[in-house]
Amino acid sequence: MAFEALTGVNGDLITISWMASKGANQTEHYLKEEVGGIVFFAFPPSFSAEDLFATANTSPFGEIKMKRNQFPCMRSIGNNVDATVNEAFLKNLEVIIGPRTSFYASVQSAVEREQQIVFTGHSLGGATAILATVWYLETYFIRNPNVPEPRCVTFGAPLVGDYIFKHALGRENWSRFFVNFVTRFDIVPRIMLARKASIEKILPHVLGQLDPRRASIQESDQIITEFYTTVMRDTYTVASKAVCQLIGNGEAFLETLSSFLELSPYRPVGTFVFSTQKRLVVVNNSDAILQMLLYTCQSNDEQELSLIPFLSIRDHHGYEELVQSIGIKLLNHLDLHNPPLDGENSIGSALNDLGMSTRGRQCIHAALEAEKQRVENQKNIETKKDKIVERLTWIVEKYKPKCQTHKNGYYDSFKDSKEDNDFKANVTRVELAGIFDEVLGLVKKGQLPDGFEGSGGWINLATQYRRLIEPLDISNYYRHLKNEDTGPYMLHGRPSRYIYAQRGYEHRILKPKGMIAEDVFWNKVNDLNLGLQQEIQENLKISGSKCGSCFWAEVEELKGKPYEEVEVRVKTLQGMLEGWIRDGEVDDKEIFLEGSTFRKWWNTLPDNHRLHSPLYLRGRLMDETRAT
Amino acid sequence: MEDCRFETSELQASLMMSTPLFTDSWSSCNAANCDGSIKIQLIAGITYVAIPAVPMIQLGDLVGLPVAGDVLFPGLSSDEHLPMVDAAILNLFFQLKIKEVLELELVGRKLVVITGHSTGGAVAALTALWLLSQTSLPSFRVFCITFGSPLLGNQSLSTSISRSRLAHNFCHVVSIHDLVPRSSNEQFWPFGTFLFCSDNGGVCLDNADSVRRMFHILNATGTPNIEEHQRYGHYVLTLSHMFLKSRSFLGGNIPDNSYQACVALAVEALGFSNDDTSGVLVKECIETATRIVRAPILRSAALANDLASVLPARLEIQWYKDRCDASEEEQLGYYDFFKRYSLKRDFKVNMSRIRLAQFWDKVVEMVETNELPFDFHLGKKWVYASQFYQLLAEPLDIANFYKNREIIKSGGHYLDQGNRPKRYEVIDKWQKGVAKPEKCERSIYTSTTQDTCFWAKLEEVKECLDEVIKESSDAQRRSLLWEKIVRFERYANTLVKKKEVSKDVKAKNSSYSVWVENLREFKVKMGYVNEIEMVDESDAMETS
Repeated sequence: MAFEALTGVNGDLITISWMASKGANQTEHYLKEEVGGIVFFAFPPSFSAEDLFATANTSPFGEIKMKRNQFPCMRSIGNNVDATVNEAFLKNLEVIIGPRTSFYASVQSAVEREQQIVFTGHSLGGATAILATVWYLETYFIRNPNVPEPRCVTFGAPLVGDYIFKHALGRENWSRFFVNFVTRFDIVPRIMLARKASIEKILPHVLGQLDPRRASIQESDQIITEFYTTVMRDTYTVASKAVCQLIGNGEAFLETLSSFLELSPYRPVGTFVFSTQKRLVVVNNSDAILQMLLYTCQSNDEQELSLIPFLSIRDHHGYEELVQSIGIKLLNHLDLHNPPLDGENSIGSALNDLGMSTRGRQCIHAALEAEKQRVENQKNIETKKDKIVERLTWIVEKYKPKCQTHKNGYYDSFKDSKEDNDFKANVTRVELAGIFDEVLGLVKKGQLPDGFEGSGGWINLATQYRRLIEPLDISNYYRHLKNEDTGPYMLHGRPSRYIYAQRGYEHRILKPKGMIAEDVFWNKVNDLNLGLQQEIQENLKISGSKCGSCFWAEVEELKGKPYEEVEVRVKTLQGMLEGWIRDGEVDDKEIFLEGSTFRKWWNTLPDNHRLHSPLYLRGRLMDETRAT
Repeated sequence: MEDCRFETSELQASLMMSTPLFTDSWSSCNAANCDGSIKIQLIAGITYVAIPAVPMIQLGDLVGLPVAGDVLFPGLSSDEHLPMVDAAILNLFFQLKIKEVLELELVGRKLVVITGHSTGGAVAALTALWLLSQTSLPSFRVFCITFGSPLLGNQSLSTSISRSRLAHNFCHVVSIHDLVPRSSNEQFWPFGTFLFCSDNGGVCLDNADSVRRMFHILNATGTPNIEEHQRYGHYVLTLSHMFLKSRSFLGGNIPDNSYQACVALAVEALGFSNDDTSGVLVKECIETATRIVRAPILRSAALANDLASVLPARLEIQWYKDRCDASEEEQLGYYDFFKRYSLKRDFKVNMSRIRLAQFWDKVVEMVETNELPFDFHLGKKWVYASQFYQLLAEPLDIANFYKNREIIKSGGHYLDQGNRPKRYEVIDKWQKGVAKPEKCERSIYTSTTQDTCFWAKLEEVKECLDEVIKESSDAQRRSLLWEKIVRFERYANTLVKKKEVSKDVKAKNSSYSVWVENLREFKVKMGYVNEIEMVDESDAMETS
């Protein structure tokens, strides 16, 4: 069925998910069902305001940052920012995975039996399902290749996380696991776009109306109308700001305006399926979905306008009908191949069904075009790969060997810059810096597809670049004594393109372990037994020992300082060195050469230190030790 | 427009109209107008300052806005033409004692909206301008929203506001039927973003030419209505609820091209039909506006490519400098090398110098004429690139200047008015905007002399010393010259001691070394005691 191809879930799976979600209403925390070898975890909705906005939370949208050690993938690598989610939803997840429920054990046993898991829920239960899926991905999926792909199916769920949340799921290629059903006017998927301050007072009343266990609603409920208007107003502001930004005009004015506005950070994740009487419209693009959430809920005339507030509550209970009619409804996929502007084709009629105005279509078109542009940008970068490879190859095959014959290696040769080759290397360094800065600029502005940062080929190339060329940048930095202008390389001098490349690399190698780089570094340092972490923390604050390609910067900083003052740093450096050489971060053919800055510095260290240095180093540098 | 697939002038307007800013600032204006006094109120974390409209005042006389030196608007950049404002509005600004009121009221605020209707709007704009043009920026953000306000000042006011990068803080809401905002006096000029509105919606235009063009179209086609000026309450109420309704195209077939479709919608938003003459004029006006707005972004992207292409030229100069520094035989720095020789290598480096100069002249000119994005010069990339360029290349430009000066034997120095290329003065200004990290002590000479005009200063005192040694001038002049020499000597010594100079300055045969030696000989001859004091860098800088 085409539906399965588009969403990754089939009709049966959706039906069971819905049944389970409905069944979960009666439970306190979750409901577990097992059908045909697939385990379904369904979460109950809540209709109390403190489950939407955590009580102690003072942020304008009840949001909070995710903790990096618990959710190491949920962040941006380019900007190094952790994802933001709704705190109340996150708290709810924590209760569920906590010791008070059997959920954790149930998931554990499903994992052990390598069963596929579907997380599901209606309304706020859907929000829990989304976070439970993320938790599952971070806890099991990344660490064990045998763990089957999960699915997350939500019905009328509110938005859970911000742009970075969405970006991180995209980068990890996890967005495809999430399918969200939205009946056309359902207010709940839109609630999180409104400011807490503007809806707080009437929220309990509205949630009471949304609760299926309460009495049915009246059509002329003024509070409901007010609520709908308020949510739509904020949704309009958020969506218009987003689309103006995508198009990129009037930035200065937009920035001033935005600084006076509180704009919801929440963004849609995964696939959305909008339903109308006759059709289902499938959309994957988060920017487009945001626009759809706005433009499918506007009215054409006064009569509709008086009706929609009522529908916005009623549609929250339209999922039973939706699930039952999946097989018989027309199906449309909204993407760039089916441009939304043309009214004649089938997507045109689908958008007519959804009540999309000319303006709405334009905005969706703009969102889709923006993604197209990101893909273009990526293609453009790919074309530069050959040039990068060619330049790096020259360094490896020509420049380094040539320098090694002078017994001081390319780091020191570049520092002296006496040969024509050094000049050529400098031009290479600058050219490559241009390319990588451009990439970083695009990444920071979100001008590349989310998946770009996750692609192994790119991370490899960036790592190779960092290992080979960063020493030249360090060499250049200390040659021109920029440390005396701007401070140590690690503090102010290190170009962000390298920091970025390092983060991408670390993320990739640490992901299967579920660890973060900072912890790994300190584990290694603690293994060196140099003292308590708290005590040496200050010492290593700006140490180059946090990354192998900064080896030379650390040597330059330690050089000339009294040994006693920097003992901890020297020992950390030597403690890291073997691992760096093993991983290819540091080239052992270079650093031990007689004329190298490292070797010369090493010879100035006290005998006592050198004699007690690790066996590895002693072996490498034995001649020198004997000679002195 | 190849690169531009969408048009956002209407979207921007609808965005603005959907925000609480729009309704809250209007209700503040209303309150101020009813009371006839300034209203300050806090709504949802934003401070609204509403200035009341004062009817029955005679508008239309321009008066110079005191900028430079005056305490009122010190931050407003101005070129040869004096920014002028409406005399009556400036008068109201003083009469209402706005300065005195706000200085007390705005302490500790975060977000401040200055607003006003009619003449109140013009005073509000002047007030916002006063807040934004202080030498130290206010600790709060300022946004000015006016309703149906008359134009505040002349073209040079408008230009200096955009050059000072303040234009994006102003939003003027103007009904298309309201005559008040369109001055009959052609000297008055718009600035900031104009939100033109009709019963059907609104459109934002943010460059002065497009706004003026729109005014002309409205003058030619509209049916002005005196009562219109009082109808902003109606507009705010209607337009702030537009977001609930679908915005569909009314006039027949929507263009296939999405850019055209956006423009068509914008034309309808102003209540025009895409089919009649005035509608076509409006359409053209909006299209021109996109082109003007869009261009800076494209230019800045192209400029980044150009920067990459001139990089080898900079590296070439760096290489030249390093080779000169390392030369055993001549023991000259690159400054003197370049000044003295015209060999093949020097010729090559001269080409690089010229290439870079042309590039940076172009950049500076584009910034000055607002052809680049408003925050262009704040981008790290450009700040660093310009700094590296200047440190390396200005000594060569100085060398070139004196090389030619010797040939044509005309007086005048590099640092005299008009001789130093403008690009360096502009780059100096950019650098001032960047926070410098704390300096630590240097152990060896810097790679480039930190005072890029060091050589120019040296050339001046070189001449002073020659004149003093020749004893050709009278005693009074000689003592003046001697003072200058001593001042520079101290300054240079300080730089050298702090190792703020590059090693080419200290090369054995460099102009500086030779001069120091000449000075020492002269002092010995005259029997002066050689005492050198360190001076504060900032004092010493005044030698120039």
